[in-house]
Formats: sequence, C-alpha cells, structure tokens
Amino acid sequence: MDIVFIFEWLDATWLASFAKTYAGLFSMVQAVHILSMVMLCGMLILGDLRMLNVVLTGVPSDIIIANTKKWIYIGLAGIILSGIYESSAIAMKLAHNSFFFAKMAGLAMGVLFIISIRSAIYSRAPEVIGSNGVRTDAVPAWVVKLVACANLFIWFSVAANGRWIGFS
Amino acid sequence: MLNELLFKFATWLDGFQSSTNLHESLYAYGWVEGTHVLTLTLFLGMLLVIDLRLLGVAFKELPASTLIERLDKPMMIGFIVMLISGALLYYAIPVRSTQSIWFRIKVVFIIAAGVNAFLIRNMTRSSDMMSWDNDPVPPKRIRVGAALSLGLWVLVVASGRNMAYDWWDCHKEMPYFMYWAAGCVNELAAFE
Amino acid sequence: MTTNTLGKIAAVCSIVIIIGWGVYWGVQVKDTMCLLEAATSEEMPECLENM
Repeated sequence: MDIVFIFEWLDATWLASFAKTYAGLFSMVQAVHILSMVMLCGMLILGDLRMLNVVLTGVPSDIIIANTKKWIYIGLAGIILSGIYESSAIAMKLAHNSFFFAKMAGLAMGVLFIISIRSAIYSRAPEVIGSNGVRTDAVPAWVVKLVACANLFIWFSVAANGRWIGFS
Repeated sequence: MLNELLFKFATWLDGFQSSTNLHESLYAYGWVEGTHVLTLTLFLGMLLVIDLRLLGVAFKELPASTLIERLDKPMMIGFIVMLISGALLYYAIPVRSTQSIWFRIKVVFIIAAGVNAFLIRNMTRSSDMMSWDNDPVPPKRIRVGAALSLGLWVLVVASGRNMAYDWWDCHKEMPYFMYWAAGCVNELAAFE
Repeated sequence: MTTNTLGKIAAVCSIVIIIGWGVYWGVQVKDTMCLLEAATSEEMPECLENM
C-alpha cells in the first residue's frame, strides 16, 4: 500500500512551510517533544516498576496508577501535537524512513495497550503485588509482571526508534 | 583566561585517538547519545513525580517523604548514567562542545538545579518536615523550590537540544560579546 | 469477560509483543553488525545481499 501521498500532502501544507521557516521555534517544539516523552514515559515507568515490585513496594498500587493517569494523557497529547509539527517539516524524509514507521506502529500499539490491557490488569492486581487489600477478582502476579515488561518494551522501542530517525 | 584554559583542555582531549574514534564511529556515538536521551525518562521522570508531589498537584495521598526517599535511588541511577553518557558525548567532540554557547548555558543551569536540589534536600530533611509531610499541599517555600527545580531542568533540556544547531558556532559572524561568551579564543584574537 | 479470560488474553498479548519487538531488535542488531563488517572489510560480506 503506497502511503507516500500522505507525506506529500503534509509537505505541501502551510504547517510544513511554517515549521521549515522558523528554526528557533522548531527547536523549542523538539524540546517540548522530549519533555512530553519524559512525562509520558516517566509516569509509565513509575507504574510499571511499581507493578514489578521494584519501586515503592508496599505503597498501594491503585494510588500510584490513578495519579499517573492524568499526566500520561497530558504527555501523550504533548508528544502527538509536537510530533505532528516536527513531522510536517521533514515529511518527505520520513516517508522513506523505516524507523519512523516502526515508531508509529509502536506508538499505536502502546496507546491501545495502556488504555485496554494495562489498565484492566493493573486494576486487578493481587494483594501480593498491589498492596490494595485482598481482591476476589485478581489476576495472577506473573500476568501483572508480564504486562509491565511488555509495556516497558513497547515504549522503549518507540523512544529508541524515534531517536534513530535522527541518525538515519 | 578561563576561555583559554577551557580551550586548552578541550584541545588536549581532542588529541586522543579514542575521542576521534568515538566521534567518527558508525554507531557508537549514536548509541551513547540515544542512551543519554532515553535515560532522561528515568532521571527526569522520577524527579517530575517528586516535584509534582512537592507542588501539591499529584500523589497527594502519599507522604512527600515516602516519594522522596523511595524514588531517590532510581533517580540517582538515571542521573549517573546521564552523567557518564554526557561525559562521553563531550569527550567525542570536546572543542565544539566547549565553544558551544548552549553547552555553557546548559552547564550553568545544571549547577543551578544542583544547588536548588541541595537546598530542597535540606528543607525536606529538617525537623519541621513532619509538620507538612502528610499535607496535600506543602508550604510555599517547598513549592517554590519544586517549581524552580522543574523550570531549571526544562531549561537544561532545551539548551541541550539547541546544541545541535550551529546558529552561534565560532565560525559564524557574531558580535565580540558572543565570541567571548562562547569561548571562541581564535576569533577573539583575530578581533584584537 | 471473566478475570480468568482477561488474564489469559493479557498474557498472550504481552508474550506476542515481547517476542515481536524482540525479533525486530534482533534484525536491527544483525543488520548493524553486517554494516559494520562491510565498513571494515575489503570484500562485500554475504549478509549484505540478504538485507
């Protein structure tokens, strides 16, 4: 399926012209992209390391996961908006960059994963991991840890592919 | 005089073959830089959690001391990795880094953030912390420190990002003050 | 959906994700090693033809 036409369209927009013209603003948007990544991935890492019982062990996981939610969505919004701005300036370069497509696949996978499986499993963590009191509908501890590892791997892959776009 | 000293140090480092090898490597420099950027999520991510708690906008149900003490270790692991990868990045391109106005600004902000962190640490280890540890919103001086912490690290990241651009590199035509601020010793000498 | 079923789905999805990205990074590492070999040797390595 040829989707280069999407990048050709993006490259011809006023956003692309604007982004290419003002280099100083572009670098600020790149900084926003990095800081949004810090917020998004930092909050995800906190939640996942908690569910792996590596950090904040004994602290009720429900409190931690609930508090990270808002900042995960803010980080996601920042990353997507700044990402669109950045992409418009280098659209034709990205059209033929395999790392960009891998990053987008990872991003889609990651967003779906956190709103569906990760959210559902973490709210059913057993007492031995969650420290939220005994639950009648808890999933096995190894499933929680597997989900945490999978999530960490997805977002590491998104970030690493994103960094590698700059080197290719 | 400081500019000359720094330039001498950078030129000495630049003389090592390993410095050139790292800079010209196919992938090693990329991996070091990638590590530097990705480890930000661990270091700054944990710091963000602590600062948000000290600002009283998140994790209000938990005592501030719990987050500070228990997230300190992963945060410092991230910081050490960033320090090592940052030193390697500097070592790979020492002269350009030393003469980069953005690198100098970044170092100043890192030092300021370090001083701020030291002051916050003292405030959170003082005897009166018990009085506000469980409060959802800490006292004003703590909130100011946390806001400063976040602001300074944002500026560190932004100035680090700008290092990649050559707007104020020594080979560009700039006012005398900019040559001095960036430590362009050869250009300064030509000015005189 | 029961908790038991949810747990199974989550486990399968997580394993697929880990294996999938593991294969992806394995290919990246293999290609990188091949390119490094091509850069440092005089003859063209066989692996380049498969890239």
